Amino acid sequence: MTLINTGGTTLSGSSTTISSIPATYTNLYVVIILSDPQDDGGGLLMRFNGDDTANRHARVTGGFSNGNVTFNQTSGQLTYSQDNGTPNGIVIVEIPFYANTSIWKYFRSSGVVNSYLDQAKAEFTMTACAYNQTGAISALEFFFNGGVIASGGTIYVYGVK
Amino acid sequence: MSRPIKRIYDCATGETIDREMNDDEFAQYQADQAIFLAEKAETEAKAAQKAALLERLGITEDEARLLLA
Repeated sequence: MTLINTGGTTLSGSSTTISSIPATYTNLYVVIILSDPQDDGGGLLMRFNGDDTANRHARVTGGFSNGNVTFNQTSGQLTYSQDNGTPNGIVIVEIPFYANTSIWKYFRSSGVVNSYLDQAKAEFTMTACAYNQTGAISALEFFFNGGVIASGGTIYVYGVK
Repeated sequence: MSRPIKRIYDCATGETIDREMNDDEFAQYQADQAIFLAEKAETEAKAAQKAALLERLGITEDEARLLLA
């Protein structure tokens, strides 16, 4: 496993994109140490290739989808309902065969944040996302839906052979 | 008024660029914000309903879990 974005990339602004990801690995393994969203209750999301075109991402949270999940999103969800004053969050994301050019792309993730409804409690998430495009993934965009990223946090993108 | 900043790290060059959103990105940002606010309002409404129901029943959240286990 090799760290691709040397030293990790500090989250900043409204979104942070890791671009020009080389196609030389088989899978990607991403670890995100979470910072605070600006707005209480924000969640972290991720877009394949920074693509915000409608109807290309489909997402599920925490289980079986019954075969009825529509591609009606512009991103996948990594966390929900994070408190904006207690940056105790961590997320892992696994993206298999990201450079393949003949299959849909997919990630699964799991993570934990402080719940904004009760900061003493943990908000766990286990999510998955499909992206109905077959081009290689060369960029990952991360953003909070609760406004800009208030402070700190780091993204580590590892290539796995 | 300045727009939110996007950070882009380029793995090929090791460079980090911070720039303002363009028109399309800003429109998407505003759409994402609207969805977030709607979902947050729904979450908070459900939490309030749950708290009110527990109070009416006169039991704690842990006791409610015990009943449903």
